[in-house]
Amino acid sequence: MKILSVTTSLSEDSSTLKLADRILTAAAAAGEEQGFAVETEHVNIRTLTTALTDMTLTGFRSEELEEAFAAVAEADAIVTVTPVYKVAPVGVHTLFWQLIDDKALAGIPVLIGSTGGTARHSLAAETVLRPVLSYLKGLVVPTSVFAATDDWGSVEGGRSLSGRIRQSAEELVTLTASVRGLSGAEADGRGQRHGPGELGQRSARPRRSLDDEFDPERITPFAQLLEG
Amino acid sequence: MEIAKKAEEVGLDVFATGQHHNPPFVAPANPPVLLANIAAQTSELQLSTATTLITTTDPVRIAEDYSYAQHLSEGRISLIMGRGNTGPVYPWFGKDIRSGIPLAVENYNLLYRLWREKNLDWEGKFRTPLSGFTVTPWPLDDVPPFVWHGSIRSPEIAEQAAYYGDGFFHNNIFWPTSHTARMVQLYRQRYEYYGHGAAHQAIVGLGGQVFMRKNSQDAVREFRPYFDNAPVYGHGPSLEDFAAQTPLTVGSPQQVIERTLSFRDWAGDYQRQLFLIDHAGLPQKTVLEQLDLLGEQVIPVLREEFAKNRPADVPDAPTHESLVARHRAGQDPIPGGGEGSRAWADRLAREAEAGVSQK
Repeated sequence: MKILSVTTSLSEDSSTLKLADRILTAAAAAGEEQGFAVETEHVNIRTLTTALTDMTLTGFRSEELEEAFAAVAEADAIVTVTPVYKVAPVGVHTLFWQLIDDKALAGIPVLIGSTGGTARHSLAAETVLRPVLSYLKGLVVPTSVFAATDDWGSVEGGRSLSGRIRQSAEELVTLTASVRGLSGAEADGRGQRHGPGELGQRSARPRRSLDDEFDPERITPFAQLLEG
Repeated sequence: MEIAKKAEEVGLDVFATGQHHNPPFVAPANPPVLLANIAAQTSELQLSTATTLITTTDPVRIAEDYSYAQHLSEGRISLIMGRGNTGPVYPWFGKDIRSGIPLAVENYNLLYRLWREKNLDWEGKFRTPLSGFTVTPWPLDDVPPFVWHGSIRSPEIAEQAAYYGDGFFHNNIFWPTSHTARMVQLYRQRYEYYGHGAAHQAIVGLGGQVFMRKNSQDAVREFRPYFDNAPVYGHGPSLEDFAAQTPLTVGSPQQVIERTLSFRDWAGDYQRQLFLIDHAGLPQKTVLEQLDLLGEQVIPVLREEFAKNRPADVPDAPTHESLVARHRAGQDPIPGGGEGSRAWADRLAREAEAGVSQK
């Protein structure tokens, strides 16, 4: 199971990056518990900022942006974590999701994380980012994770944050397994049940089919267009 | 006018103008007005649009105006059909932006028939019906101007071009090669499907934009301030990034030659290369100098190199003369595919299936 973090970490070792790492670690642990090997990968939107503004202005994607979009398409699940500025996810983070293709997240479970100075920012990503990700047909898990400065500094804050991280990571892994038609026993090779495909392999169930509108075999024949 | 006359003087084959109704563009709202004037002052130059707005211009007006210009220019007119670059243009002409593709489909179908059928009875969704209508003037020698269909990202338009056996022009100036190549391949394969010829014989045109000086450093130095502030390029990616991702070539004539020849690697042997010369707010004097460089140093080499290793069965860009010969030989393309094409066989199979299910 490949989980990709698409995160905007504006400084090295930012709390946003810390949160993304903790979520990925929790997801890997949840995966192990359920009998999956979890691979994780990072895309930092900070490195794509210039490419994103260029694409906004000219409409075309740089190579590194193409690669990032392709990584999203290949992931089994996404964790997307953003800092919150003035009660909204930072613009460049939202821009990434605004510029990716429609349906880019079709059938892909997504977990939203965000960070901010105080708890007053806690619903920002929920209200702004969730509709964008749903528009892209992502399956956004019910629990999002918000971490304020307090959460990193106090004992109760830290506990409560760990609880939220564990909860949402479990939701992500369970949903991904069910979307992909995996069951832990099969995936681990220990179970007695035999599913489609070989033990321990990805299920034969195709994740989803992206429309390839330039495929000559799949194009709408012109006679059909003529009929209106 | 100066640019067009210069194009003929330096030996270019074709001059093309856009149709625009908004700043910053200076192209005419009705291209045949400009093209007819150029025709009067030139003798060999082929004249084209790039593009004619098939969505917002009444097909009856297109049929009449371009037919007239075809007579005035003695057959030197061709058209590239386009849907326009800005949404607001639709309501300016009483059209609905949501119907972009259906308008292009229906309007071109009407135009196609207007140029080929006298006393036409016609009924469609987007304009009043026609009853016994004949275009005046009738196309020169019974052969309408050649049509290319231009589209940047709509597969429907590549399909439309293939269906009719018309040309396909991809204005790749703002697009990466990988995308343009897929659109061209789609058109080529569907052209073959409809039985107009093999995929490698389809009629393909490409764009490209250049700025040249003898030394590439001089070209970059001179062009950069224009690029940085041009309405369509400026304040975005750097000149270098833009040049890496699009056909924009700023450098020596030799660099332009190499870049342009490389188009064949992914597009196959193609018939028309248009260069955007008058761009980025360059002064006219500079544009004319660019044409000199293009005509003297670039085009002769391109002609020679493109001719090398080109299979003998790849056609040249159609001219009025070649279209008249084709028409008289009874070899006009059959829209949707004639007998012997895969499209024809598929149609028969579908009909047979429908017949069975009815019984």
